[in-house]
Amino acid sequence: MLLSVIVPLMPVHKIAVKVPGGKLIRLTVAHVSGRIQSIQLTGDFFVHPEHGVVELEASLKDSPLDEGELEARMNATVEKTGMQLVGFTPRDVAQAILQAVAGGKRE
Amino acid sequence: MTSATSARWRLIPLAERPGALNMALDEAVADSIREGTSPPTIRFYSWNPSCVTIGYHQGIEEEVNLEECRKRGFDVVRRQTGGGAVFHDRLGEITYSVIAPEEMFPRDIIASYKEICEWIVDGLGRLGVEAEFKPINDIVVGGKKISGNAQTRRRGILQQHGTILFGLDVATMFSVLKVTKEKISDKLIASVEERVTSLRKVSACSRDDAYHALVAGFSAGKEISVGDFTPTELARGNELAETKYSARDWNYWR
Repeated sequence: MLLSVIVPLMPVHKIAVKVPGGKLIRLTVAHVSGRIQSIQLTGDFFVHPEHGVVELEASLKDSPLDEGELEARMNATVEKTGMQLVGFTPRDVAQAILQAVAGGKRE
Repeated sequence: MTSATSARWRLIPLAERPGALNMALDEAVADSIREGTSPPTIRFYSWNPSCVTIGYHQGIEEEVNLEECRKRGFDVVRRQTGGGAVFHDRLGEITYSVIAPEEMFPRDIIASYKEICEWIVDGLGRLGVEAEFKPINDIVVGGKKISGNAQTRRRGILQQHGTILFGLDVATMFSVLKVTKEKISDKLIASVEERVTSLRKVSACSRDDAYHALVAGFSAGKEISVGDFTPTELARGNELAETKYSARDWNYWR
């Protein structure tokens, strides 16, 4: 019930950013009260093992929209799991999230 | 430790198949190598019908004009590997896979791309085409991309596949792929024709010549015998084609 009230009001932002010398990252971000509710990271980058992208996304849930915090959460996940990212870094994603929230396409 | 040059390889010659089966056979071969029932394998293949593959992490609807693919009768399939969407024109390219124990290649991902991509560079050199590996995962001729490659490592097995462009049907490619302006902007060149080339543009070779040169490039310095899929691989491939690579759960997971 509560969800049905909140969901339509939740801002959802999309952005596509080409990392210089790297790959394209696309983000769909929904946030409430300055915290990430849901995020999907797609693009032509590489994550080894591939399913690690789901863990990266999960690490960002409920994170405040703060570049340092976003980056630290992803770095901690990368370190914990030993996953390898090719074509982008946690900082690229953190910056893209803030860019998306500030000016990405809003749906 | 076995290296790529000290192993005994199986070479599975060029054959065309539907997209889901092509992807499934790569996985089935990886399974057999992991189980110790098949040797490291180099495989060449093409796509019938023409196919769009998307990278593991891509959104299918963000990348592919699905309606256009339906109209043209093209397959659309998600790969196990990351990387970008590729239009595999039936006669316009040659695809390969290298599937082998991970320990045969450098741990560093870019270094392992380079090692395998140098086999392609060798093959293209046999056609008089001077190509070079361009990190992360491309091969270029005169600064223009002629080959894209993608790699995964799963439970001890490295699998790298890639395409070598023979001809380039830009109009069809643009009709089935959604190319983003963000992707182009960084490269400062708007036209795909200025960024991508093909063997037809840089050589007078036939597709058959190109294939044989690539086989020679991949085989150089290796102990390699021509072979085929095992019955187990074919059965597993057919099963995976149906249950995984044709399934909505897989192809639309994002």
